[in-house]
Amino acid sequence: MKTFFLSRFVWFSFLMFGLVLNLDVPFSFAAETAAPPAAVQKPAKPAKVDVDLSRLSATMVYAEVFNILSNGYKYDGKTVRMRGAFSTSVGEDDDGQPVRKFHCIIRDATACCAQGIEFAMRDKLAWPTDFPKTNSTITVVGRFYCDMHDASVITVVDGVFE
Amino acid sequence: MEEGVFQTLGQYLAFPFVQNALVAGTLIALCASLLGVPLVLRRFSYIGDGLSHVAFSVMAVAAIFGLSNNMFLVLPATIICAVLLLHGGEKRKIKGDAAIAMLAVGSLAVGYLLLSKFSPSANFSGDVCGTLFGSTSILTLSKTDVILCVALSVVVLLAFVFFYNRIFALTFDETFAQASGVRTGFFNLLLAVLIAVVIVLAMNLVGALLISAFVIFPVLSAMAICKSFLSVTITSACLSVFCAVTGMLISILAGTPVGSTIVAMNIAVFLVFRLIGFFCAEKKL
Repeated sequence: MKTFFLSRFVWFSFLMFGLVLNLDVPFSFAAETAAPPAAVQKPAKPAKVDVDLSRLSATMVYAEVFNILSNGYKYDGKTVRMRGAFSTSVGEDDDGQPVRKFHCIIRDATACCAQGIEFAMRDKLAWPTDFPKTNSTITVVGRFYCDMHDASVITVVDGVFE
Repeated sequence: MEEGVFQTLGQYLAFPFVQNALVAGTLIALCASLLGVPLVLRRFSYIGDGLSHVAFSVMAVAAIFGLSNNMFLVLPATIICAVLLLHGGEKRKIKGDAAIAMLAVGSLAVGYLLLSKFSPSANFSGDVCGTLFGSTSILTLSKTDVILCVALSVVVLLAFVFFYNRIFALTFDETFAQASGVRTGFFNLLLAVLIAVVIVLAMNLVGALLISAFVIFPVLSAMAICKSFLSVTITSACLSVFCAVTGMLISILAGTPVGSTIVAMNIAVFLVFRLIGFFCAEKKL
C-alpha cells in the first residue's frame, strides 16, 4: 500500500515539476497573437490589443499588473487596455524640470493593495481641461515601453482614452 | 451564461501565474491537511497561528533589510520556533496554549511595529494587509517561489508517507510509542520542522491570519464522517485540495480575495459534512 502511494506521489511530483518548469511564455489574453518584440520599437498607432486588463476580474487584473511590473521586458511593445482610477503627480524629467505624470491605479479585491502604471498620451492634451477628474475610472489603450537598462521602469506610451 | 463563465475560466487558466498558483496551491493544501490531522488530534490546532505570526515578523525584518528572497530567513526562524513549541515536552515552564499565544501576539506586534517604523515601500498598509490575508499572494509567486514551494511540498509529502506509522503512534499515545522503541524525540522534531515548512508555504495561499482555518477545517470535516486515522487523513487531503482549487477558481472569476474565498469554501464543506455526519448518526440510532 505504501509503495502504491509512494509511486503515485513521485509521479505526481514529477508532473508538477514538469508543469512548472515549462511555464515560461507570457500569455496574450486577447484572441489575436501579437508579434514578439525583440527591441524597443518606434511609437506606432495602437491597433489590436494584446493585453486587455479591462476584461479581467479584480483579482486577476491585480495579479497580471504585478506580473507586468515584475517582468516588464516580456511585455515591451505590446498593446494594452487598462482600466483603473486616474491619478496624477508631478515628477522631474531628465533635465530636472518639473513634469506632470499620469497614472492608472489598479487595486486588488480588498482595495487595500494598489499598483499604478504610468501612461503618456499620444496626443498633446491640456491639463486639467482635457483630462478626467482625479480618482475617476478611466480606460486607456496604449503600448508598453520597458526601459531595457532598468526593467522596473514601465510606461504605457501613445495612450488614448476610451 | 454558463458558456461565458467556462469560456472566461478557460482563458484565465491559460495565464502562467494562474497555472503556477493552482500547482502551488494544490500541493500546499495537500501538505497542510496531512499535517493538520496530528495537530488537531494532539490539541495543537492553534499552533498554525503562532507560527504564521512569527513568520510575519521575520518577513517584516527581511523586508526592512531589503532581502530579495525572504524564504531563507523566514523558514529557519519559523522552524526554530516550531521546535521550541512542540519539542520542549513536559519540561517547559510555559506550556501549550500560553506559549503559542505569547509567541503569536508578540510576533505580530513586533512585526507590525518594525514595518510601520521602517517601511521599505510606500504602500505599507497594503503590504501588511496582503501578507495577513493572502488576498493575491498566491497569484504573484515568482518562478523561484513556485519551484521552492513544489520541492518543499514533495519533501513534506514523502516524509509523511515514509513515517506514517510512527506519526500515527506519536499522535495517539506518545508514551506507548516510546516504550515500543519509536524515537519520539526525533519524530517530534521532524513533525515540528514539517509543520513549520507547511505554515510558511501556506502563508502564500491564505495569509498569516487565516492559516489555522486552512489547517483545521478539512480535518474536522473529515472527522465528521470518518472513523479511522487513515480515512480521516485521506478524506481531509481530498477536501483540502478541493476547497483550495475551487476557492482559487471562484476568487479569480468573482474578483474576491483568494485566502478568504478558500477559507469560506472550507467552512461550507465543513457544514455540509457535519450535516451528513449528523444524519448518518441519526440513521444508525
